[in-house]
Amino acid sequence: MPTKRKQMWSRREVLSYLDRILPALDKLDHFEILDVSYQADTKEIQSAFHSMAARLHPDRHRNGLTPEQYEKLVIAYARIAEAYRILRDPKHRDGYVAKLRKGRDASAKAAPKADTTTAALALLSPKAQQLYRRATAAARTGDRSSAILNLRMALSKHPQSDFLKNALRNLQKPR
Amino acid sequence: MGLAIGIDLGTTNSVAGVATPQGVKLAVDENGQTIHASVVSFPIEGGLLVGNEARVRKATDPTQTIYSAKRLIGQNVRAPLVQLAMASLAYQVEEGTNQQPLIVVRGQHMMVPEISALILKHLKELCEDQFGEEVTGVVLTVPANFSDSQRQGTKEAGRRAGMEVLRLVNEPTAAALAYGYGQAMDQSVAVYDFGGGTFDFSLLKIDSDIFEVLATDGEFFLGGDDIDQVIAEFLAGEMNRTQHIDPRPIPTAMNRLIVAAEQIKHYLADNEDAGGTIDGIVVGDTGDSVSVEFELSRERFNSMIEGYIGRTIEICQNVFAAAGMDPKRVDDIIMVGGSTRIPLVRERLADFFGKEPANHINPDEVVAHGAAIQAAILSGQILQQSETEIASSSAKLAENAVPIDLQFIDLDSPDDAAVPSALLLDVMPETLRIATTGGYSEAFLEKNSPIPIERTSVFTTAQDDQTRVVIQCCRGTARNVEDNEILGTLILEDIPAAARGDAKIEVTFRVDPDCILHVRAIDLRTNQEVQAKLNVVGAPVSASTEVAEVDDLPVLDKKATRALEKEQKKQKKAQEKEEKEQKKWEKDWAKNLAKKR
Repeated sequence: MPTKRKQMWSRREVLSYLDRILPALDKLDHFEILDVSYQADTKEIQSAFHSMAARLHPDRHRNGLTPEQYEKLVIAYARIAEAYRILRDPKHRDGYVAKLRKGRDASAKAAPKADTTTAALALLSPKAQQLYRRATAAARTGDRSSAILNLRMALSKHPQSDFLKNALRNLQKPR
Repeated sequence: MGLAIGIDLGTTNSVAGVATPQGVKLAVDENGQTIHASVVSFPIEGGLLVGNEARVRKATDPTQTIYSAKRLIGQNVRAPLVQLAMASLAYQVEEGTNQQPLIVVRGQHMMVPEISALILKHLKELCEDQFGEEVTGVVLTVPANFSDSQRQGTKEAGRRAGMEVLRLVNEPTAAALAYGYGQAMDQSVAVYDFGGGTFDFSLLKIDSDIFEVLATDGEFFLGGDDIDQVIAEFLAGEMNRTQHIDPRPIPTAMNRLIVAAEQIKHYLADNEDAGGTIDGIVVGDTGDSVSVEFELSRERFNSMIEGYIGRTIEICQNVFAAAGMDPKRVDDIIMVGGSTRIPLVRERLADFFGKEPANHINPDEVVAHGAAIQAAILSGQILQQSETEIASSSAKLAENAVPIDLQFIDLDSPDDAAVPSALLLDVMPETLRIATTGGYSEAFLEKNSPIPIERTSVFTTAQDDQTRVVIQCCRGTARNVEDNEILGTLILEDIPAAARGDAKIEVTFRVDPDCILHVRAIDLRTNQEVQAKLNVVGAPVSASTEVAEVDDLPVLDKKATRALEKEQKKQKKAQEKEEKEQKKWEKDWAKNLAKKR
């Protein structure tokens, strides 16, 4: 059965991704890097890796970037490959998730999660980030329906984002 | 910008190709051959013969005719398997700096990449003649299980041939690209690559234009050459039995038996029995020759090579285990390399997969096809060609003033590109390990990890004020360092003095898309870069840092006396005669074999 070609990013999209992702590289976990949910199965993880590779594999951009930009892209891509290496293998993945939980519990006690919000936000496209900010602003003024609307619009751009899903779930909770 | 080509640089044969809008075109020599012997010969009168011209000289001028250089490239001459391979070579090999092999040609030393560069240059020139354009870039294919130094050696050969090496692609991956390019398929395919010198097996997922290698494995010293050797040994045994002469220590006699063995192997691919007489096997200095009669059924032949084929199936099983997949679920099996023509191979594979392998693919050319496609993609040639196509049709439009519908390709928006692209996602063929204490090692990046990839690790000092740390790196699956293949050493230098254990050096290992390892190191206390150097054993190192031109071949002493010249002429004549005889012998013998039923 023929499958649809996964889309390649333009030079502009790649540069904007690099600007967003590189400062947050250390704070993001493997799931966030691959833009998959924590429940994603192996097939979804493979598909997500293929999408990421299609968009920004260095081979696809070797003729459009300056050497400096290319170097940055290789660093970002190598990080995606490392995330895939861990998550596609059930044994690696279980060990990693256990470590992640332990870290989360420790840091939850030590510090508020402002940091993870910034990091998760960095993963979203600029449009989705704007929608998310509008949603939080609306929620603060008590306008729940526009907050939900904005979040849903953001979610339509990143259907896999656990960060956005959780935000929506929190907002939809009956008070 | 010049042309980018793809070259399958094989142990016994090489193939070069160019991707054109009408499909991949292969380079042909003056006899119309697309398959070129990976042989370089240095005649006594000077000059150089490369490719099919040089092939016959393997038998007539064995010590100055270099073949199977791929078995030596980037190798550590001290490795046991390399020593074994060297023992069967007719030319002389010595140890050079960094334990690299040096080939002795007409009394001078040549590095192995210099020999391979001569083959690559020959193919480059054939392409330039054929396509009327300068070749500047190349994609070279290598066995998937090639190590770091073997890859570096191959890259070096490409550079010395005057081309930019755009990428080293693993041979099975290139074959899969040729198979699935532009087909928009969703398939799992297996590539069984059994060539002249090496065996590789890869499992891939093709998802539209993405070609992802799921797992790969192989063996470097396992190929058609080994099977020829088995038949030659059988013939030698027959000779010893009937004539009481053992030809094994006589290189010229064994050479002829190997040539005969190869033809018997080909004959047995289509026939149940082979038999006949091999004449003209010279066994003494006096030029006396003897004949040997033989009978070999396919059944007997199968039992002789059973072990080799069984080993390849074992490797296939390992790959499926690593990928967690069932062989019966594979959609198609791609056969690569001449040794896949052996009927027993097809039988065993059909059993293993529960279906027949694909048979519409030319096993000798498919890798070069894939390399040519990848070269066109990486150089941007595929897009450029569409541009020129548009340009030429626009020109026609102006000439004839007939309006034609033109589809313009918007280069800023690649999603609309009308030309299919493809992306290869390859993996590391072997686990990379770092030596710890007590002779043990730790897996650092396991085999089948996607590349390019990066991993970091923190190292420290063992003594106060230590400024230099040396870390051993190896590849393999064993815990003991000794049981793995030694890659080389990582040397960290100019570390700021500190109490032992206080220094924290973060080392980043990066595996690039050619699967070559790079390192960089940072002192975590100061955030300063630390000097890190990776010395790979067996990698080509010139005595001088300057890269020698390929044309700088060993030159004979110019003060050669007339007597020497005369001697050369005589030798040349004798050799030409011998060459003719050898060619005639090969022809006669082939006829002889074909006649027999």
